[in-house]
Amino acid sequence: MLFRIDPAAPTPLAEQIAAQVRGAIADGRLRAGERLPSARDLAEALDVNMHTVLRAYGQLREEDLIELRPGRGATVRGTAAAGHARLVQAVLALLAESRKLGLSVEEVIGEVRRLS
Amino acid sequence: MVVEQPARSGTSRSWAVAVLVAFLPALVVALSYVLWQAKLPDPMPTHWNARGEVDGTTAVAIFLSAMLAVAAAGGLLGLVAAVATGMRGWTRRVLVTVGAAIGAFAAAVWLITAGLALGHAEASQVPAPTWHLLVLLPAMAAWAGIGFATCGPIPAPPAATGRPAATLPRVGLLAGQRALWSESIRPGLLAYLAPLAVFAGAVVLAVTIDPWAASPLLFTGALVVYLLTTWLLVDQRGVQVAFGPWRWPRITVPLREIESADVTTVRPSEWGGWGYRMRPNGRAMVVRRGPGVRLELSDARHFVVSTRDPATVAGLVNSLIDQSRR
Repeated sequence: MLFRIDPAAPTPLAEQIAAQVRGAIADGRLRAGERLPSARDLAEALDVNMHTVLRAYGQLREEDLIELRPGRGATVRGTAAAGHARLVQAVLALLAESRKLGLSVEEVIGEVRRLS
Repeated sequence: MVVEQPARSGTSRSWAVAVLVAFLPALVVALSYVLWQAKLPDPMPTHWNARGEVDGTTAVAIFLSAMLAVAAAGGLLGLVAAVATGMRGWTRRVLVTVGAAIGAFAAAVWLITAGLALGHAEASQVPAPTWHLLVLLPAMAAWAGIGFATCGPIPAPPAATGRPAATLPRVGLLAGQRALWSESIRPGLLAYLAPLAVFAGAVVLAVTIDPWAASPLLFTGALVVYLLTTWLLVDQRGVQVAFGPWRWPRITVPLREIESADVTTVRPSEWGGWGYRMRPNGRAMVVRRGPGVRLELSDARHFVVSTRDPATVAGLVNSLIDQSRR
């Protein structure tokens, strides 16, 4: 897959990297079981700190999108990877919007319940 | 910017070392014979049957001179390559390396046989080689590697100049943007037949002779399995092909040597098969028949690599060149 980051953009680099992987899984460019580049390669290629890449990979693991295994590196998880990635994207967008409105997570959950 | 290295093809001193490396195996054969002469049975065992019994012998004088001749031939190859004028740097390197490999092979066969036979009065008492066969190939490769290394630093090809033609693909990189293409390329299922055949051969050898006889094949099969997974990485450093789960070894085509990139179709028949292929002015990483990217390099060379998305890969290479030669 193609990673593209812009150091001049306001979004933190780790989030840019995570968003690229998430987007690639969501639209099927990265399929379940596929392997991501090593943190070191990504750091060298994009000229960012290795911790930045590891933070991005860590976040993707929290979102259950990738698996991190020592020796094997990062691989795309599960069978419904694309659908799950789209769901995570939607949740993140929802959280970003509610932050703008000053809503707490509980209030957002309440809103989701009310409308479901 | 990268500082241009002057193209050098090794100093005369490093060539002298290369010749020494090529001739050392012959020297070792001769020297060990002088030292062990009294303790070697004559004739020497040169073949063992499946039960590990000696079933072939050769007179010491004939076996020794044969191994000495082969080792010396390897050395001679290195010598000719080192002193001949008008030879391309790479041709020279290959000849010195092959010479070293031949020499090391003859010396290793001699040392293994003589080492086993040492102190035995009769050829029939000499045990069959066991682990020796497993170290034979790596030792040969290591010695060839030393031969290659002594040829000195590889002369850097000239830098490419100018920008790719506007008609070639681009991915649209803004100034300051950084990008990486990363892809693990897996060959078709048919490719797995190759290691399977090697392992089948190993099983046959292990059953009919012994596990040690099968060990070189097991080693080769494991190597083939390792090399079946390849990676394509494209970024500001250039285009890299990396092998195996550990992404090592790597073939790097530095961005400074790339003139342009375009979409192509990779045909194994054009390259004489799959894998890393070389011909006089071109190299290719042929993983499967189908889409690929062709890089035009400085000095009228080229590099072809399989990829699942040639438009994006070629576009990224061209955009990175635009960015670096702004």
